Amino acid sequence: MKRPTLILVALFFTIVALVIARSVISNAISPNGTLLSEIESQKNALMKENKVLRERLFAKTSLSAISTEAARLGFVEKKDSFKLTEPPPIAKR
Amino acid sequence: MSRKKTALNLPSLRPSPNDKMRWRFKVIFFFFAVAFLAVIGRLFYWQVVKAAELSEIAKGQYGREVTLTPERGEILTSDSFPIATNKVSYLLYANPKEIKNKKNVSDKLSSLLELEISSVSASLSQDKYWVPIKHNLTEEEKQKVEKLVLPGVGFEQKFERFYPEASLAAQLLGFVGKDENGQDKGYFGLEGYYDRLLSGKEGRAIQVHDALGRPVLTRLENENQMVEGSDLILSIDRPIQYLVERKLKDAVELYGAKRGMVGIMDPKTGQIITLSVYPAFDPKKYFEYSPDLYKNPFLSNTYEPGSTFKPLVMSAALNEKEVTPQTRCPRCAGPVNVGGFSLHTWNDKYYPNTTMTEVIQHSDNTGMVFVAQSLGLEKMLAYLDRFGIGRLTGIDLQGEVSPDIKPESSWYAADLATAGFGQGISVTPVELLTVFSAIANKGIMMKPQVVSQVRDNEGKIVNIEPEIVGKPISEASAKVMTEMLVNAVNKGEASYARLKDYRIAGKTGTASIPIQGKYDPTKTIASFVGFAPADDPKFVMLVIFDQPTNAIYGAETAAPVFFNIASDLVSYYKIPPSGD
Repeated sequence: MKRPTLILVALFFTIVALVIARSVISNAISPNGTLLSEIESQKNALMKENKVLRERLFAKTSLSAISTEAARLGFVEKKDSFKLTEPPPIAKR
Repeated sequence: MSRKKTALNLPSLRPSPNDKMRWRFKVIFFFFAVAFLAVIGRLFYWQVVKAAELSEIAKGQYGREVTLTPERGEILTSDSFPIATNKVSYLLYANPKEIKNKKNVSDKLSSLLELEISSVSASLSQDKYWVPIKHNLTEEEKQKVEKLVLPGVGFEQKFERFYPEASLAAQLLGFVGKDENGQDKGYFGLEGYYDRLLSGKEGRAIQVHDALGRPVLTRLENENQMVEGSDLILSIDRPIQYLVERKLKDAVELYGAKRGMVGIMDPKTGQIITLSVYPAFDPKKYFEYSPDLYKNPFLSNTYEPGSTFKPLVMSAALNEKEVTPQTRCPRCAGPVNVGGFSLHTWNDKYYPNTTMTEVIQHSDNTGMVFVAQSLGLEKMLAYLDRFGIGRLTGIDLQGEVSPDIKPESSWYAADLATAGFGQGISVTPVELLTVFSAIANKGIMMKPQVVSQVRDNEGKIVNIEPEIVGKPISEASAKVMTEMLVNAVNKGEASYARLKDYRIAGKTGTASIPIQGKYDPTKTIASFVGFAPADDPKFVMLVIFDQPTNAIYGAETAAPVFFNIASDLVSYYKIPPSGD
C-alpha cells in the first residue's frame, strides 16, 4: 500500500473510532443530569430535615427548657454550697 | 502626411477599453467597500453595542438565573451552643390569575392559618401574578396547606432567625430586621457589629437545561460565587449568662429599679463572660417592644459612677506616690469647701485624720477630695486618659459611646474635687469594668471583647487574640489598691453581704443623678464593682441598678446581688476558699 493511502486509511479508522467513542460516552452520561438533579433534591431534602431536627434539638436542650422541665419534675435549686475551709484530717484522706 | 500626423496627435474622444475597466473596478471596489463597512458596522453593533443584551438572551435560552442566598452565620456561646441560629420557614404566595374559585381558597387559607379572611380575599383579588399571603410558615403549616391541593398557591423556602434561648443576652445579640430593599440586616449588638461577616455574600448562577427543560450535567455555572455567612463563637458562658439573668430579674423586681445590668469579664484576657440587662426584649419579636430596649445600656448609656470611681483616682495617686495606704487625711474632720461648694460625705459621718485605706473603706468623699487635690488636675487628666476614660473601649458590639472629657481649661477647682469621688464625670459601665480589670490584672488593661473565634463556611477557625490596650498603673500600685479594696469589702458598708472565706476586692457606689443641673437626692444609680479571688482574679463583675426605689444605696442593693452571683461563680469555677 502506498504511503498516502496508508495515511488516509489510518485517518479514516481514527475518525470512525472517535465517533464511536463519542457516541458511547454521550450515551453513558446523557442521563447524568437527571440523576444529578435527583441527588441534588435528595441532598436538599436531607439538609432541610437536618435543619428541622437541629431546631427541635436546640429548643429541647436550651437552659430555659431544661430548667422548666426540672422544676416540673420537682427539682429545686440548691441554696447553699458545702465547702471545706480546712484540709480534712489525715485519717479521713 | 500632415493629416496622419494630426490624427496621431489628437486625443481620442472615445474611452479606451482600459478606462472602461478602471471605472468598473472603482464601482465594484466602492460597492464591496460599502458592503464590507456595513458588515463591520453590523458586527460592531451586535458584538459590542448589544453584546451584553444578547448574552442575557442566550443565557435565557439555555438556562435560567438562580440567586443563591447565603445562610446567615450562627452565634454560639463558649460551649458551642447556638444562641442565634436559623430555621427553615416558608413564604406562602399565590398567583391570583390561576385561581378560579377565589372565595373557596380565601376561606380555606384564612381558617387554616388564622388569617383575616378579608385580608386574604383582598390579596387574591389583585390583578397580579404573584402576591404574598403569609410569611414565616412552619414545616407543619406548609404540609397542612399542601394537603388542601389549592391551585395557584405555592411556597418559597427561606431562612428565619431562631433563638433557642429566647431572650437570653438579647441586648448583646441585637436582632435581624430588614433594610430599605427588604433584605435581612442586623441591628444593634453583635448582629449589627458583625452584620457583613454574618450575612455572607449573595451569589448568582445559571442553571443550564436541555431542550426539554431538564438540568444537564454542566449543572450550575457560577457567575458570582456565593459566600456563606461566618459563625461567631463568643466568650459568653451560657450557664453563667442564664444564671445572672435570672438573679438580675429577681433583683430588679425586688428593689423596684428602673433597670439593672451585670457585666462580668475575665481580667486576664478582656473576654466578656456575661453581659446581662433587664428588662430585655425578645429578638424574634423585637418589633413588639419599645425601641428604647434595643440599645445595650452597658455600652450605650453614660452615668456618673460615684464611689466606684474612687479606686481609679486612688490608684493614680498611689502610682504617682502622692499618697500611700497609711497617708492621713488632714482635712477630713468635716465638710470641705471647694470653689464655693460645701462637699459632704454620703452619710455626713466624718473621720478626722483617717488613712487612705479607711478613706476607701468608708467611701469618704472628703478624703477623696484630698486625694484628687494631691494628684492635681494635670495628672488627673493624664490618668483618666491612661485608663481610657473619654475614649471608646473598642468592644465588638454596635452602639458603644464615650462621653468626652472636657479640656483642661474648662476644669474648675470644684470639678477636680468632685471627680475624686466620681461625680461630675461620666463613664459607660463597660469603661468602668475595663478600668477595674486593669487593677485586677496587675495594672495591665485589656480590650474588652465578646467574640473569641470566627468560623468561616469551610470550618476554618480564626482566633481573636486578647489585646493589651495599656498599662495605666504599675503592678505594685495595682497590688496595693487590691488590698485596699479587699479591706473595703471586709470592713466597709457592704461587709454584711460578703462571701466569707474568700478574698474579694470590691467597692460600692451610689451616684446621684443630675436632672436639669441639680442632683435629685431620691434618684440614684446603685452599683458594686469587684473581682475575685483577689490574688488571682478569675472574674471582674460590675452590678448596676438604675433608680432603685426600695433601697437607694449600692451597699443595700448591688452589693448583695454581686456576692450572690459571686457565690455561684466560685462554685462554678471550683475556686477553693482562701480565708479572709
